[in-house]
Amino acid sequence: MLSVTFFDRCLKPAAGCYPRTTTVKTRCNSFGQTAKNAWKCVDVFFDDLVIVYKPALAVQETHYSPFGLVLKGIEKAGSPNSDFQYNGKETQEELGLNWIDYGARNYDPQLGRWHNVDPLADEMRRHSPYNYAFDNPIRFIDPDGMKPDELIVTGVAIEEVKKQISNGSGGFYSADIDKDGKVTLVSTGLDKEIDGMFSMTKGQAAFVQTINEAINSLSKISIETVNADASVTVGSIIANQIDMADIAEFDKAGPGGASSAGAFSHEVKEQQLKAEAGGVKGVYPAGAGLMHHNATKAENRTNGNLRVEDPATGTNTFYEKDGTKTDQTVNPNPATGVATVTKVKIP
Amino acid sequence: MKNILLILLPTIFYCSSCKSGKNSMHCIENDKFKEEFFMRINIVEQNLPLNQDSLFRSSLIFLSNYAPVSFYETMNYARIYPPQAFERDKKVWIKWYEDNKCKNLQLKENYPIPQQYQEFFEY
Repeated sequence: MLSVTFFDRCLKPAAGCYPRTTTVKTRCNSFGQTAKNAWKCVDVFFDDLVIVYKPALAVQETHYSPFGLVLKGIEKAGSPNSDFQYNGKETQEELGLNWIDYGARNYDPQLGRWHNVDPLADEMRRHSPYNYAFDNPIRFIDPDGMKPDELIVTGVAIEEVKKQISNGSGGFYSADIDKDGKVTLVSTGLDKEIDGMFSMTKGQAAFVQTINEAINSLSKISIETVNADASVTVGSIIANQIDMADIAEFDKAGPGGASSAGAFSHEVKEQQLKAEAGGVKGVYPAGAGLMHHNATKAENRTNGNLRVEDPATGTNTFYEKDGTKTDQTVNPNPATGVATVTKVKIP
Repeated sequence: MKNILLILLPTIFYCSSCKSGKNSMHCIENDKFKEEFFMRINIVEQNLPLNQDSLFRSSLIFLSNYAPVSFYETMNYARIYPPQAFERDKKVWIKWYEDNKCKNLQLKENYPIPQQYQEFFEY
């Protein structure tokens, strides 16, 4: 978009659109006379008006292979050429090696391998100590040459978590949860069936992204699952718990509002943010309000709507894509331990 | 021995009556406050599993201005005040009332939202 402002000989704005607060006399108002924050416009006429647009010179443009090798043919090197390139790490050009300094180790993008042994090799015995991002730089990022941390899910409702991840991803992914609770997403290959005829919806893709972000987080995220626990309503940010029976109730309550996948995304994202802030299980984290707020954004992407909370009244209104609204309430049931989710569609 | 008992017993009775008389003289229990305080607890108890609406939340804020409320427990998906927190808090509220009822407790004109709960309103 090109914005143009004209000035008169006194260097005062001469024409165009102005905020409502200016004192320019109004001759037209394209947004209505009473609209707040509307812009006031004045008509103006010019002779021989020429607008010349000279784009700023791009200082440097660098393209990489997934493993970080600079594609020299289409590169536009700067003068001087910035040394901080792939992943923002410094390229070491001494002796013509072109290694990249990641802090803990030196990386060779020509080979897609580290030149130093993984200092945490004994923690990842399945993989070569020289591999970069598990040979999958599209999925994983290695910010410092150390190891990615994990999403650990324990507790009594592991199977429900697997079911939830399968449902939330539309069957495109399943969850492999090992004996320690480490979660790995495994593609089911559904997208490759019948010549890629199936594809994930935006909500399913957002759900997978949320789970992937938790798996690839730089902090270890530990979540305990419970089932129909009266002391946990959907999830507890303090106790790092998710009640999978409560999560299932969202889909049972019908369409609109939050889906089970959306509520699960919310809880996982909240725990990720707590872990990344250095939160400890059993302790209320500082900034929990902001974590909840950001977790709601992840939930919105999965649900495909916009959740608006009113803490004064306790109402949760979801603005749906079709222009309708859904009022959703979640109430604890001490007798059964399963929360009651109620959704009311408002046209 | 009989003489000692004859002297001691009336003294004990006299002192104990003095003590109770002194307490009743200094205990000013505000019935209006008591009624409001327990009505608020009742609202919280009744609405807890049904509808944690604005009346419910204002009642929690009312109570928190006098006795501790586990607002941290409400930081969950739906910002629900959980029943377990209520069970714990209710005992604390009643104990607080019993400990303070003689202090001529007064209702306030304004009930500010406590710090822990304010975080809910910021986002």
